[in-house]
Amino acid sequence: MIVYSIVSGGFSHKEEPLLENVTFQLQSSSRVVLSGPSGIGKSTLLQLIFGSKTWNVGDETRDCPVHFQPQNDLLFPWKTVRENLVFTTPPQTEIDHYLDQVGLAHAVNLCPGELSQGMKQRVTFLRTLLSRRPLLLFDEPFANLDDACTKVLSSLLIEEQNRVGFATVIVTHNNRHKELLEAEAWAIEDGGLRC
Amino acid sequence: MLGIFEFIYEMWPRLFYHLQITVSEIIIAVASGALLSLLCMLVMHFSPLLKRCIESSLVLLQTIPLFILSPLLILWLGFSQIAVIAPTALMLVFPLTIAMYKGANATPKEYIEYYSCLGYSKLTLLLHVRLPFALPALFSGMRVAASTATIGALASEWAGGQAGLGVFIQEMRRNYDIYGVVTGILCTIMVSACMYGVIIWFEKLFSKRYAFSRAR
Repeated sequence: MIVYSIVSGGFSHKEEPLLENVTFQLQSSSRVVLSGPSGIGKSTLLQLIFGSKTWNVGDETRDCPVHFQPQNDLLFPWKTVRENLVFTTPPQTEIDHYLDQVGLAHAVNLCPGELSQGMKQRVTFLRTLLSRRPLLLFDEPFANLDDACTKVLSSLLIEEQNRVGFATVIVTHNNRHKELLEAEAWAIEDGGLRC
Repeated sequence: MLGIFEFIYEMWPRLFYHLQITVSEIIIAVASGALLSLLCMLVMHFSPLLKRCIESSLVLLQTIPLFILSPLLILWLGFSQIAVIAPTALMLVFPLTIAMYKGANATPKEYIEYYSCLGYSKLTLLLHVRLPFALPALFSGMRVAASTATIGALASEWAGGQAGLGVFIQEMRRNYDIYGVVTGILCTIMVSACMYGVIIWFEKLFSKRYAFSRAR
């Protein structure tokens, strides 16, 4: 069981209150899709849980390590695809096998500057998926991908989750992704999280 | 013009002797200056308190015309190349340290936030994230250092050297040998240009490996 809570918490953006008290519990292989209109704070919430943004006030409890796929790739421009993944994944991970599964076998030795947006997104998806952390957060992981690619990545996520056992929270605007991922739905309403 | 070539032909062994001494002094000074700057940058990065001390010391150091230390070093250490190398290296520490430190802090904020949230140590972040992003600024500093080192080495030789192009030019001036002086100046320009070329070559090499575009 993964527990996250922020008590008496609040986060403001440009002095406008955006999010307040957030508490949730997740089973170790739960899959959640977080949706809602643009600008409501979905990405911000993931960044707050991950730690790259901090709550203005409140006592935060997070009982496990988290990995996060942000919207911008944040890959090292001087490392190849394999080197980027080796840097973040645990040793002994069969990186080439996973790259092959997402259709990037030919791009193993290419640098991010030589990849398309969709290819970069698949690499960052793998970077998070292969981190083997108990809670994985994905911010619009399928934004630049076609339907076929989205299906491949969704199946891989479900397969790995069933095999390894980790919880995921996925931000998406597309309702079809919720069905594809067979995930439960959460939403942000009035600055709070509705589970 | 022909006279200069004749002079070079006749004086080549002597000229080469002085030339190689100056070149070796510049190379050692640039290498030790760069190492010292790296050390200063690391200390400044890990200790905000020492950062202030080092910054003030470097500014103070920069206000001293360091080549005047050469005669003093000769009195302390006797005649040796250290009297030329040490002031030259110290001249490079200020521009190189500032370039390295600014470069290391020019890393996009999102990278530092993201990878530190993933649990990487400050040292890992420095080696794998900050230093590669600092390379363009570092090479800008190295370009400045390459020309400063030539000036520094010549001025130090002038002030207290036993050999080198600075001493050679001084000897020729004393003998009122205009070809000798012009040859010395031409050699100095050539050494400076070659040093700059070497830095550009290294920059080209690193810019390919670390995927950054070179400043023109």
